[in-house]
Amino acid sequence: MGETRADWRGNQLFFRDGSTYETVKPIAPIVFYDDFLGTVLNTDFWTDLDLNSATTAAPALSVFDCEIGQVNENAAAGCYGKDDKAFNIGKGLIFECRLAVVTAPTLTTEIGFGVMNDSYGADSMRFLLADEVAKYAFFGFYTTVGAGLIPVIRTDDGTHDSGIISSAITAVALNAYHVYRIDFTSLEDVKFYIDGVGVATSTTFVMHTAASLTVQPWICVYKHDDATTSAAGEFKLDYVKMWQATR
Amino acid sequence: MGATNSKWRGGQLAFFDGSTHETVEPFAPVYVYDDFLGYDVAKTDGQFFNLNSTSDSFWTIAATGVGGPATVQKALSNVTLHLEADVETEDAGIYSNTLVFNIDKGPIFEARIDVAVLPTLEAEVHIGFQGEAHVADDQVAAADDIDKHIFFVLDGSGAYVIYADDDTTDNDAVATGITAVPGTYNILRIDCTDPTDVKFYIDGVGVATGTTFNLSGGTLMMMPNIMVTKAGSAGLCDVKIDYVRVWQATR
Repeated sequence: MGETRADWRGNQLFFRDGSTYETVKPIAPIVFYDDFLGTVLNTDFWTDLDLNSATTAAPALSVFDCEIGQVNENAAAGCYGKDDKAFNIGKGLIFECRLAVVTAPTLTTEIGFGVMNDSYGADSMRFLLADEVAKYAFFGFYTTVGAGLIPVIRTDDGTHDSGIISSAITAVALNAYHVYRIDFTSLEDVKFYIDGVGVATSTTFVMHTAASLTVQPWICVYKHDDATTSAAGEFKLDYVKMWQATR
Repeated sequence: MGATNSKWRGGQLAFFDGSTHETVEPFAPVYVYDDFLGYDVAKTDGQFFNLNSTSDSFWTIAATGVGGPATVQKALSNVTLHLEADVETEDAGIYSNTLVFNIDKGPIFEARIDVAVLPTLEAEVHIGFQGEAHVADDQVAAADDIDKHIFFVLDGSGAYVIYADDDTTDNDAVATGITAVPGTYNILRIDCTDPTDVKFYIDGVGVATGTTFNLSGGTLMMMPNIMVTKAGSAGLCDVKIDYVRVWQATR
């Protein structure tokens, strides 16, 4: 059973689960929260992405399931914020989600999740095997690191490209949920956490080129620019929370 | 960055932003909050906006007019209400049309508003509680069409004034001393904790404090309503709504 704990960080109060480090209740002016309850994706906020034979199952049991099968074609399954960039990393944004890898990405498949300033581009969202996204902060999985089960991190504000940085945690188990958090409280030093523990802490992720970079959430498994291999990958998304310290 | 502060008022706990005075988290039995995240193209009269993260529609759209009809659009965490320049009657607004908030149970209305284009000619803006169903082209300044209301109003200019009427006591055009500046947001709050002395705040500071707004003439059942309207002129007005919170101290 979780225990409610309170934290005071950057002048902001929030409540979290003491055991899982899920942020249960951020006390912030702007809060977005989707637990994927019910049976219909909230397309008022999300664009449901099912490119070619990829599938996103309608939310069920509080989970949004995204999968690309082993078909020789470009594919993408996931969701993003309708290209409506309503969040501002310069105002203390925090992104958090709980996600489980169900099938490790193989071959050219990537799993990416976080926030981006870019609009969605079909077949041009790679950030690991290629650098096709301009401004973003993502966690990701791809087969090059940990056989697709060790999360990596990459940020780029259009000037500062961190390159691919391993989180260096033990490979996640298939179907095991973890809480991933990206903290933009300081753009001089964007922080990444997995299950409440800072990761890639020896890297300084700088995203301060623009004082007010507006972003949307992006959570997706995809193989882009590759219609010739039968790469696969699948994840389950339990919730997404985003909050911002000021307007 | 804002800093979380708390207050205890009228027996209720609430967290607020210490710099902007936005009520960030009221602890109340009845609480509606919409930050208007998500995107919707301009909607037509009678359509709906969903509340954040739910599939239940809460807001009804008013977008009327014949020439180039008034528009209501949601994007970038704002709803924009827009009147066209046509010489005609137009409404652009959002309202819930469910009179669920009871003035005897301490409701508080709060919204963050940018009057991006100040109202001209007959255009007027209503922001607050309405105690009856929406009817197209209802005015409170140009005419006394709405019997029960508690509104911040802008009437053909940028000056915020108060109109409050419980169908017994009518207060019209009470000055606040605050003028809206296009491109600048104000946080407007109506506090009905005491129906015999309803309070109005702009950016955390009490306004129209020289008037006692006694609205205890009957049990007002109310809905949130934010509307720009005009009756037959070429008046213009654009209003951006960043968020709306309504909460009530008891059921």
